[in-house]
Amino acid sequence: MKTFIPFLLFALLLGFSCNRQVQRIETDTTVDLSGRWNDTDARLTAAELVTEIMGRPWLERHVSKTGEEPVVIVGMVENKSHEHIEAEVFTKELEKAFIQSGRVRLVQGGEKREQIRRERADQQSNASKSTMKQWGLEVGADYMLQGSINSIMDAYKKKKVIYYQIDMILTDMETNEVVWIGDKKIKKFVKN
Amino acid sequence: MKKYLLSLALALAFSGFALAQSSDQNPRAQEAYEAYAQQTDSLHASTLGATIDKTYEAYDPILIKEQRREDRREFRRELRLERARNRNIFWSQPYGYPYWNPW
Repeated sequence: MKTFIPFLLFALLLGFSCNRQVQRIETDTTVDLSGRWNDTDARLTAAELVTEIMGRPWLERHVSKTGEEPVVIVGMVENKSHEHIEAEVFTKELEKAFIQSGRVRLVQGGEKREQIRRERADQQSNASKSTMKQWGLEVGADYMLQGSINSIMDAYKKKKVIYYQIDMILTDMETNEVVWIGDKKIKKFVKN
Repeated sequence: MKKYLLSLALALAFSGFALAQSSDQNPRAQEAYEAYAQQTDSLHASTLGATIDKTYEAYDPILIKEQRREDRREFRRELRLERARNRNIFWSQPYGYPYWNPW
């Protein structure tokens, strides 16, 4: 029996040393670990940009001019910062705000659009005549939403200041006129 | 009769084109369109709704220190492995000076 005690103690020690704890937290909780770009920054950016884009006069101007809701397509977002930042996290929030408000229409772009077109092409030979969808009836976008992410970092010994600037631009597809510019600036002080 | 029909068709086509063209539109709009239509490829689709990374490496003294430490660790690990591989020929001594072992 005595010979088993050290083994038992060793097993207990091993068990205690590896007890990883995982807990669910609210998605709007701010947890800053490394000081890098994180979910809180993405959330703040999305909130600011949604408020900005929905409350500016480009929307009313378009409706009064054409009598219809504007149609928007999401273009490219350039990440020129020093970190990997996925812009889809906040562009999706913008898209959601467009759809939910019912004041802005959205058309699909990118790889998803290609997939839809491939499926439509497939329907031409496999779907019944009454259900197959026609070519050439897509809705043309009135505006394209594009953006860029920039950052500046200043570091000295164990301190650093990181500045992020996210700019989103909405441009008229026909006239190239920029109808809206929104930005979000975030500044962080990190002390190690 | 044939000539009459042909001229009528041409006149109709021309009037249709003129109607389609806005009064302020550049008369070379068709040329501009054709120049861009040739460039259409799958590359354009891949840029829509996507994040294009053009990141740069920022100067961060802490990260540089960490990298150097990691490099030193890697070097020491390689050295240990190399010594372990060659221990039949060389017996490592303190301070890293090997000597010939005849046995």
